[in-house]
Amino acid sequence: MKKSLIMELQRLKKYSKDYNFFRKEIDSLQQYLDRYVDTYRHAAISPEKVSQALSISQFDILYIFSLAEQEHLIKRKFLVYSKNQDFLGSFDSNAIIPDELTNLNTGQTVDKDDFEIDLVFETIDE
Amino acid sequence: MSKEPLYRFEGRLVTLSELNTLAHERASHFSDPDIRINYLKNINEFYKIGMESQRNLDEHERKKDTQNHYMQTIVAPIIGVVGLTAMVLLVLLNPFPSMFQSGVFWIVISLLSGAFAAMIPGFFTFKYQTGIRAAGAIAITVLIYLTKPKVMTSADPTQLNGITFLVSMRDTSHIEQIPIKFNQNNPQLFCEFAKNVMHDYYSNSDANLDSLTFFRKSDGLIYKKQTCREVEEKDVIAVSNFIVHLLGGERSTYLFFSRK
Repeated sequence: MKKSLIMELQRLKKYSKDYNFFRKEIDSLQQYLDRYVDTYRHAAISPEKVSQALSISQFDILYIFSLAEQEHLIKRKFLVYSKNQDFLGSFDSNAIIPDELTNLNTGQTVDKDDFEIDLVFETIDE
Repeated sequence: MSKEPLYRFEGRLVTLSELNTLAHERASHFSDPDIRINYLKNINEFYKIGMESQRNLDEHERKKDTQNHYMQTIVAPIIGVVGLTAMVLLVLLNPFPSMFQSGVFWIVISLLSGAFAAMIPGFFTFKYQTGIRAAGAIAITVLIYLTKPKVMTSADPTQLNGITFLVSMRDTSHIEQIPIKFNQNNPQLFCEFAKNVMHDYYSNSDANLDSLTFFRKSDGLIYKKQTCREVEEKDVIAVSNFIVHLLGGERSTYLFFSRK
């Protein structure tokens, strides 16, 4: 079974200043990922949920993930939902999300004002 | 008006501009400016908060830098110069401070020197024994604090805490010794001070206390216009003018009593 690269947050040591500053958060995150990533393989990691589970600021998680992304350990995805939580689409950047999307469950067009966007991260395998 | 979606963030839904504000709030807790700037840039990059926000971010950081620059080059040196000038005045008004006052003066001088040093270009680092390291203006503060001159840590040998009056009021055969506590920071004329002391001491007597001459014991100098700060000797001869007249003048009076 291929190993998920996100298990190797120690690679972030090359960003020594950031690594040392967020050392505690990175260690907690690593423990969390070691426990859950292989269990829920290929499930997207939600910084919001990780933040709640570890009681760490979501921004701190995002920042650590931004460094992990620079190391090609994970990849960001913007998941777009309607207000009633119907999945509308997945995008690599929020800049390319169109102004309107079709809700395949209802067949109705959903306006950008009614989007709820979740920034998540996909694991990358070795 | 552009359409704006909402983003999930810590259990609620927020707009991009709210995210931007929250990110700034979070980043403001980081003391390291490099981490703070990098942190905000990466988060902005995630959400593509846009050129407007990036401009705001740059403007925010630039404003902060300008404020810091203003503080370091204008406000801190002004505080330093004004404070040090005030300290010089304070020392002139209080030339014989107590040990405690000296300690406080020195701490304040160290802090003000750091503020003053903020305007001096260059970077100064300081290392003292093990464990004490400082850089920049704070290094000047630490350096000055640790190099307190010996003159401030030992008692001033010229400072008088007490003086002794050798008093002759009515006849030359009787000289009374009156030791008193003395505050050398007193700006009062010494002869006025001495008369007040005599009044207190002889309050129940009928002696003419307004008519006294005060001599310095070592050389016979007569205290007239000298303030208490200028008194350098512990022993003072106080003689009534009646006796001065009896002994034929000030000089002969001094010579008479200095031999006793």
